[in-house]
Order: sequence, then C-alpha cells, then structure tokens
Amino acid sequence: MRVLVVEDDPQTADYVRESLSESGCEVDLALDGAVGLERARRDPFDVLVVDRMLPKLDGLTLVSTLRAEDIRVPVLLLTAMGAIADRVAGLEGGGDDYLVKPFSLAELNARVVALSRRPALQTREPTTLQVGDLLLDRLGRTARIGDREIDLLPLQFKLLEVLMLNDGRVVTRTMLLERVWGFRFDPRTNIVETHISHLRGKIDTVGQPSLIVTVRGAGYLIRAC
Amino acid sequence: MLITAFAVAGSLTKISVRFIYRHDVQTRILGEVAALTALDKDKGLDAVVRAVAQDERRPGGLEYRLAGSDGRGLSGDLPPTGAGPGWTYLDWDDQVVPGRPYQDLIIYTQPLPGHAVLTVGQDLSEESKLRHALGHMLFWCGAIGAGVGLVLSYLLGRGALRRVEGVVVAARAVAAGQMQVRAPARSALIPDDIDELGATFNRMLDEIATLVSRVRWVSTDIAHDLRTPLTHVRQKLERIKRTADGAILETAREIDRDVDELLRTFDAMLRLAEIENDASLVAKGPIDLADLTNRVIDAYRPDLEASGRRLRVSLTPALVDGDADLIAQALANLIENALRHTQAAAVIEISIETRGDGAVLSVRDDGAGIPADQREAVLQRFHRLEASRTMPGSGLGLPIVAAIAQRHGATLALDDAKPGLRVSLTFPKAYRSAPSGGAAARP
Repeated sequence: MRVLVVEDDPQTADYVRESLSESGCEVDLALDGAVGLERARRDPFDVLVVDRMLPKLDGLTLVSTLRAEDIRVPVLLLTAMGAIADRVAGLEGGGDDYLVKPFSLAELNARVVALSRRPALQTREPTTLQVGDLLLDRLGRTARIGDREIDLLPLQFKLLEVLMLNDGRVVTRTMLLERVWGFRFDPRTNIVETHISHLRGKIDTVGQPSLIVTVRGAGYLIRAC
Repeated sequence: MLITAFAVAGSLTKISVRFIYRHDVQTRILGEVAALTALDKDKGLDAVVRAVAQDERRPGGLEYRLAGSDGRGLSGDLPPTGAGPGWTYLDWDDQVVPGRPYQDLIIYTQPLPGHAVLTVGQDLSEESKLRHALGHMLFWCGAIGAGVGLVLSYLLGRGALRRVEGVVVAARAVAAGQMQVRAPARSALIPDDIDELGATFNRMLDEIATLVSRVRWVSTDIAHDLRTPLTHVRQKLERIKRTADGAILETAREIDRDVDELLRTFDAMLRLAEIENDASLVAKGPIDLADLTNRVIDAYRPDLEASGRRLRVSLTPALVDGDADLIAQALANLIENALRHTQAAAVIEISIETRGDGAVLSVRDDGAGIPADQREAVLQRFHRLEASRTMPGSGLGLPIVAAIAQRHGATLALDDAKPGLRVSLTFPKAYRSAPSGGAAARP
C-alpha cells in the first residue's frame, strides 16, 4: 500500500513515516502543499495523509484541487486540536476522514488502513457481512451464528456492523465513538469498553476465544477464529 | 460635642456681656458721682438735693440716696444701705421699694465733705434680664442649629451611604463571578470622594476583566502551542513502547497515560475556547432532542446500570435548533458529572419537558448536590468543589456545558433537587418547528 504524507513538521512527518512503514506501507513524504499536489497528481497512491496547515498550498485547497481533477484517492486530513470548523470544512472540501493533532500513531494507522480498504464509491455496499460463522444481514437487521439467531439491541447491531465492515482491521475507540454513537467528543467514561463486553457476551461461545480482539493501545478488531 | 461647644460659647458670651455691662455701669456711676460732687462744691448741698430728685425721675436712670451726716435721707429713693465709701455690691433679694423691686444693685458711696453722704447705684436686674434673654436666645439658636445640623448630616450621610452601598453591591456581585457588573457612576460636575471611589473601583474591574480575558487567551495559546511538543513526546513514547519491555515498557505506558490526561485537558480548553468564540459552529438544523437524548442515554446505560445506579427517563418529543454534536456533548458531560458525584444505588433522572417557550432538558441526581453559594462558581473553568478535587475530571465539564448553552441561546440552571442536584438546559423553541405536534416542518 502506498501512502503520501504531506506534513511540514519534519519530526511528525518522520514518525508518521516510520509508523506506517512498520505496518507495511510504502510511504512518501512531501513537506509542503505544492510538492504534495504534484506528487499526488503524478503517482497513484492508495491513501493521502494531508496536514490542514501547510506552506505554499494549504491542505484544504490541495484536496479540493485533486477532487476537481477527478483524482479520488482517499484523504485523511490532519487538523489542529480545537478546530471543529476546520474539520467540517475539511470533510465538505473532499476529505474522507480527519484526525485531530496530536494523534496516536495507532489511531493514524487504523484510519489509514480503514481508508485504503474503503470500497470504491461506485460499488454498492454489501447487504450481508460475514466473519467466520457470524452472519450479519444489514437489510433485515438480524445476526446469526450458524443457525442460531442472535438477539441484538440496535446499538449492538451498529457496533457489530462497524467492526465487521473493517473485518481483520483495527477500529479505534475514537472511530467507534464517531461511527456507532455519532460522538465527536471524548467521553471520560469507558462506555466503549462496556458495550464491547456486552456484545461479546452475545456473540461469543463459551470456551472459545472471543471473535472481538482487544488490541492494546489501539482498539478492537473482529476476525474469524 | 456640638452641645458642649454651644455651652462653652454661651458661657463666654454671658461672661463678656456681664463684663462689658458692668464696666459701662461703673463708668456712668462714677461720672454721676463726680458731677454731683462738683455741684456740691460749687453750689452747695441744696443744688445737689435738687439735681438728685430731678435725675432720679429720668427713666432708665440711676438710683440715688443723699443722706445727711446724721444718716437722715435728704433725697433719692434708695433705702439706707449701711455701706462704707467705695463700691459695694448689694444682693437685696426681698427688699421691695415701693414702685420698683431692687434685686441686684451696685452702688458707689461718696462722702460729701462736712455734711452729707452720696450714694449712686444701678439696678442690675436689667443686666440679669439681658443675660437671661441672651441665654435663652443662645440656647435656642444652639438647639435649632444642632437639630438642623443633625438632620442635614443624616440626610447627606444617608445619600453618601447609599452611594457607597452601590459600590459594595457591585463588589459582591463581582466576587460572585459576575465580572460584567460595575459600580453605579454619577456624572457630577465636581466629583466628590465617593465618585472617585466608584470610578477607581470600575477602572480596577476593567483592568481585571482585561487581564482575565488575556489569561484566558494565554491559556488557550499555551494549550495550542504545547500541542506539537506533546505530539513529539507521544511519538517518542510509542517508539519506546514498540521496542522496550519489562519495567521500561510499564513506565512508558504510565507516561503515556499522563500525557493523555494532559492532552485531554488541553483538548477541553481548546474546545471550550472554540465553542465560546466560533459563532459559525452551530449548525442551524432542527434537532429531535428526544432522539438525541436517547442516543446519549443508550451509550451510558450499560455503565450506569453496571455501577448499580438506577436511571429514570421521561422524554417528551421536542425540536430544538442547534448542533447535535454539541448538545450531545453537553448531555454527556452532565451524565458523567452525575456519575462522578453519586454513590452506587443513586437514582439519575433524565427528562425533557416542553413549555410554552421551549424545551427543558434536565439531568437530576440524588447525590450530595452543590452548595448554593458555589453554583455560580462551578461554571467557571477549573473550579472544582473541595470534595471532588481528588476525583478524575478536567474541571471543564460544566463550563463547556455553559458555553454550549450560551451558543444555543439556552439557559443553564443549577438547582437544589432536595436531595441532589438538578441541572437543566432550557432551549428556545425551534424556529422551524411545527406549531403543534412533533414533526418538523422542513421547508
């Protein structure tokens, strides 16, 4: 997977590159917006990581220029903390996801991976999801393991759906808060952990390892045993 | 003091009146004696007898007695005095001479060589009447003066006191956190000390307000500027965590948690500053408040129930204008507050009521509550009740709720729920809501 990181703080750029390389990405760096735009036009990247504030050409203009040229590479925007208006503008301007600085590298990795596997815009979203024996019917809003029907609360269904859409990939706590609950703030309590543990209680089989794996310091992932 | 002053002034006046009067009387008496003595020498005793009889009839005049060497009265109304030559003061309290009462009398006795004794005197009751009249006058002047003075100083004092009171009221309001309150100002042509006091007080408050806002900005700037170095610290920690093991790994994780805590606080500060200052933040959509509340409650329900707390929910459908993310955050902060400040088995009640003028979202707990005098203060950033200092939390939860409320034109109220605390957010009626029923009228 090829990732272009457009970031003007050399130290951050360096760590981002190091971290993404370790998770198996091929990383290119651009230290300003103009160079970033040129690289993105020339080479096919799987994901762009673009800082919102850049010398020469700001991140937002970079993304909207790419979109205007019909380059649809998924973009993760890095925004300054406390800039909610920036976030909204970033998503409206063609960004696919955003991450608030300072972020953990685990969070960045998870989001980059999630973006790279994002189905192309034209293909239809699958109506059923499957992980091992676990089958989720997104239209009927039902879940089954083998022929055993699982009774899920709406929120638990949504949680399971988000995990299964990222089958085999880490979904961070923040991503779950955004995608399951629609929370764009950081609750001080461990609501995610509690819900995961309730969900595990419903889908796991006694004596078997859990389908939902906790990745320490990163988040959760679902995978077939 | 005033009265003492009047008494002293009165006595002095009386004494000086007496002195002047006596001096005048004595001069007159001596002059008369000298004139009559001269007449005796020139024209003989008979002329003196006639002159005395004549002088004595003058109204307001002196009193006379002319006696022969045998003591027999020759002329004049004064009774025999028995006084020797020179000045004598007679206190004839009860001596009544037909026609005029003599009380106090001063006389001068002068022997006329060879044949007679002349006594000339002056009735002093005139003087004492004058003294009494003067005394009365002084007394009343003093009494009236003192009375008027007292009333005036009371009125003036009361006015001044009321104006000083204005400054005190303002100071109390400011101490209670209402930084915008100022002492009443008067546009006086010639400012007095109290005007000066009020103006100085207000200048001081303006200065404090500037400093407070500067401190606020500085703290926001610090949070903002420390972002990058903290990112670097975090990145280095992650690198350590990937390669280290054992005690070093454990320490790195601990530092990571501390950095996280720091970042959360900074995040909350920046978030607060943003909500307070960015007017573009509120998306103006009608929001189904009950739906949003249910979503937030569902997120917290497992935590609430697992901790043994009971949840009571009663929601009336309501639409409000605003930003769903922000309102969800406000509600989440309130629920987390209730969780933090109650024991297990507590009851937490969340409700939405609609009123004529809007929707009231309230979270009520039956915990220790907040003392009435602290309710204003907990809305200030970093204010934490003494009892909860050791608990986790940024001290920014309620200030963020307050800022979100303000952004939405909602009023935030903290009330005593007896027992516990009730926090309620009253949102104005949604601009685009249907006049009745639940559904939104979307244009």
